[in-house]
Amino acid sequence: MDIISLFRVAASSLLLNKSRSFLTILGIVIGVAAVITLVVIGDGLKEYVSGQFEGLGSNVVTVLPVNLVDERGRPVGFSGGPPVGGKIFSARDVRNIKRLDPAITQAIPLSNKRLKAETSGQQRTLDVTGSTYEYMAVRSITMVSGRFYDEIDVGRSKKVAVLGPTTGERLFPNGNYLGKEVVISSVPFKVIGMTNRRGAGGSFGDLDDNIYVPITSLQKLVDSDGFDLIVVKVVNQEKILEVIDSIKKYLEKERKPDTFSVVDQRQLLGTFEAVIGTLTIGLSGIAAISLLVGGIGVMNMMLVTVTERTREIGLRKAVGATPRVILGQFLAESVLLSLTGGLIGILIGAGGSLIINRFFPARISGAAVLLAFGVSAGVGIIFGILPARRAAKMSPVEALRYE
Amino acid sequence: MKNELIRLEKVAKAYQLDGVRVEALKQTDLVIREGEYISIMGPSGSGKSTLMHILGLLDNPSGGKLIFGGREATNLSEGETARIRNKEIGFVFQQFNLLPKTEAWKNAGLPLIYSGVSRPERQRRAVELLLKLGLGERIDHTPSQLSGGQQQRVAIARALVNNPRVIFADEPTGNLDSKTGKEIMEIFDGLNQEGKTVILVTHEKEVARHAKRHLRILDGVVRE
Repeated sequence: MDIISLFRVAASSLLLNKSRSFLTILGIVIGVAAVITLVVIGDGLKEYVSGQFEGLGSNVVTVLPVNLVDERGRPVGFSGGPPVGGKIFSARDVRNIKRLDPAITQAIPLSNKRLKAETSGQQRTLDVTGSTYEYMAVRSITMVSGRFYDEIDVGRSKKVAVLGPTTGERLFPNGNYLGKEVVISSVPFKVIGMTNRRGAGGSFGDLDDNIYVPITSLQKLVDSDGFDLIVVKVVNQEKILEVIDSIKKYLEKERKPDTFSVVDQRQLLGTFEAVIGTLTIGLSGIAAISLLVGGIGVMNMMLVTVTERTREIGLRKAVGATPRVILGQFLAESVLLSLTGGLIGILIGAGGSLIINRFFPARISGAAVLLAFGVSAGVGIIFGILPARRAAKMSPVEALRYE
Repeated sequence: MKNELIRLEKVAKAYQLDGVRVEALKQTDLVIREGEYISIMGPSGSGKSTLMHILGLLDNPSGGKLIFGGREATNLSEGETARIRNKEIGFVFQQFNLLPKTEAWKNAGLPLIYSGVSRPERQRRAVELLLKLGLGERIDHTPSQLSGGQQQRVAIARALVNNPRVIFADEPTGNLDSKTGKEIMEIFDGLNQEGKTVILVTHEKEVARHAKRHLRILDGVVRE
């Protein structure tokens, strides 16, 4: 008996009990839809993050005073203890790093603080980024209006502020912000411009919900003379590893081991992708439990079917069905059940993803669909094998006698 | 003398029932030739069903030797006996044993599925037999739409569809009224006249009368 007629016979058996078959596959439908949706969200998030990283500017190396990755480049939080912090960087570190290698075109200090910003009527807590005027070039920032702070602003610690577009919209809902005042931690700053939209990245959160001020002004504001990190621009992609190496050597002399990290854009991206990947796998794992429950439902239904159809099995054997064919027939039924469930689940998951995509990045990948298809076929075989074996082993004489 | 179809040599069947050894069939020697019309009679529990199951390769004997169509068939695997049943043996049961909610022609063509016959050919052969058995207008009816006699005709068509060498009928009229039962028995008479080996298992004398050779069985012992 060939596989096509095996599935044809299985399909006609299942159609004799339409509502029961439908209820049985419901568990598979829900499980597959849940897995698909979560994988799709994870994939979308990954793509979104990597897209944002590319927008941050290329050939950039970031020097952090914490140990973010282990020696194999894996994020520390996932392979060992929490990141180990060292002391923040000084102006001397910035000068020394800039002189380390001719491939380094820029080395600029950067500090990020979460501070309260107020305008008349509006108040928000947001990221205030302090740096030198070169920051604009290093991060490829462009302006919507006004100007970025310049060398003089930094040199004289001027109280000037450049708004990210999200911050601008929120603090100045009427759109009239140039020359206006924003009070950061009780100190008034004058708004001199607004940047173009850049998207999320860098640290968790919206990169456009940000105020840029001269680093010297920020240092006064928080009463500190250090920097949270140093951003190094490298002349080209080929030199990046060489630059990372020389900065590491310098810091090893200056600081305790494992209290800093020197990473390029790709490593940072890798860290984020690893986090998202772990989350996706974890969540899909939870969703997969519902798939397991669905599989048990299929097995239960198949066991009931085999008992109910004992006489039919006996008759089929009497007219020439071998145990193998009976096994194949009942396996075909359970595979058909769970595959149908899987297909409906994929459609629901894909439809759901389209809706989610309006609020949240989601990307339907062929791999996710293929995975769900394979998993539901697997569920059919695994949970169908026990009932099918029971049917195949029945003695024809006893099965025919069964009342 | 016609060719031997089935030969039993010292065949016996015993099984355990609640720890007690039951001898359903005591050592039996028997030869069935092609074209015979045989009745197996006996009261219920006498072992007549056991004998039919062994002759029809539905059950393995626990001792002795069974030769079917010139071939030793005593200790074949279930798969091998299934293939022999499919091609060479037809069964008709008291309860018809048709698949519910399934059209008459599909029921009649069922054995052909297991011999790998294509669907159009299955339909052609099943319909041909159903027409011959007088079910021309009912080939698309499901068992619940058919009378008992009609259902048994479908079951006979199913037994015949692969052109087997022998037909076993286990109380074929047990669920039918006497008039319908007579009609069904006339079908078996006709089949035997065409040369088919027919073996009836029954406890009714009226039915057994149709056969030409009579086996009686009592407490597992077979007598002519």
